[in-house]
Amino acid sequence: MAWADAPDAELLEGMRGDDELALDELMRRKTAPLVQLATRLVGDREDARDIVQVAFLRIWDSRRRFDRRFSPNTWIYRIVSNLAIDHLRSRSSRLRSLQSFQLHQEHLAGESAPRQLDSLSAREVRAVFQELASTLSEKQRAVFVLREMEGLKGREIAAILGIRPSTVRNHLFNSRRLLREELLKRYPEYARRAGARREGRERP
Amino acid sequence: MTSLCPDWAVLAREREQAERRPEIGDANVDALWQDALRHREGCDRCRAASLDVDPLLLFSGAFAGGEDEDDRAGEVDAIRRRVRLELDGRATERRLNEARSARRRLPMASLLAAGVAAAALGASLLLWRANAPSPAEVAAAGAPGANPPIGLEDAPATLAIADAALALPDHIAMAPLVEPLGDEPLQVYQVPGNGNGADLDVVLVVAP
Repeated sequence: MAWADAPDAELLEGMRGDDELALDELMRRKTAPLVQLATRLVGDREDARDIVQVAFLRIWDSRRRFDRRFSPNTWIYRIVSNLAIDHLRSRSSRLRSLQSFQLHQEHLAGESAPRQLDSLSAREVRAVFQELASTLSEKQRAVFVLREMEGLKGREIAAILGIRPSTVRNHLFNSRRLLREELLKRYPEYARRAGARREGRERP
Repeated sequence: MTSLCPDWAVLAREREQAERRPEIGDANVDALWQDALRHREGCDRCRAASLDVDPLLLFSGAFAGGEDEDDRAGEVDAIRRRVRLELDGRATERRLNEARSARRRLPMASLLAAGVAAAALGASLLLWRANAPSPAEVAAAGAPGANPPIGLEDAPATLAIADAALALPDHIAMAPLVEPLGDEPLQVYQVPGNGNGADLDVVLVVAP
């Protein structure tokens, strides 16, 4: 059977029947977005590739245990997110995140004048996020990434992370508060303008 | 600013309020938010305006950085290839394990078959010995007076009696061997002994 036009749910059904071509099509479709998600979660692209590779093997191994109540994307995101959270909990990954932070610091030290937020390159934005996000718990970070960067709905995030919606909300608000505080602390030149504007808005 | 540019302050406030609801967010507000983020990708004014409202919007949507093309080049194929290799490796390992198991099972199967054959043979012998006529019974059956003298003419009838007297179990008893003797009009009959060495086979050559 040709799987190119089949929806994701049918691919998973095909995989239940041990069709490796269905897995191949799923990899073709999902590898890029999953590597992007994993990179945002763990902060290192090489680690993200490894996570996605392991995720596809895990998807294949547990293809008969796929719960049809979930959407395919929720199930796949759940596997990748769990692997990424496990990875973040390991000590070595923390060290690697620190390295990327140090690289960014060196980069900034070489600049003569502070830059505006809206002029940062994508690479720099990622480096700033990795630095600030190191203050978040794994779950807070995952909730922030899934909501702000992936644009998922609250109940989807709850299903992916296996937590209650109220916990998602708490993680979301706490992660935003912590990130704002860290931004102000570490990059006052970035936060100054926004802070001034916000104060002006809130003043009666 | 264009007429399409959203009011980021209003939009951000509505979004945050919707997120305080039990379902965390509102489908309409989320849709407007995603539209605004897409619009911001190509609008410098909105980039600045959104960050003035909340610098954390730096990390929202594509602003946070879609991946660079050079990062993405070949990445999908590389991961697919690595997964395929892993699955192929597992399949090979599984086949090797099956072959190893089969080799381990072969001697066991041979031993088991030999054991079953030996047991069947032993059981057959025991059964046969239990049902075989004693030498005395055979002698009595063949004693003078017990049967008429055997003449060549009477051979078939005598054989029938001897056959009945042996009464071997069905699975062991051999029918008297009857075969023509070359082109001669003679036939050979053989009645087996009882197998314990006490009696000999009886062979008769009969001219019909």
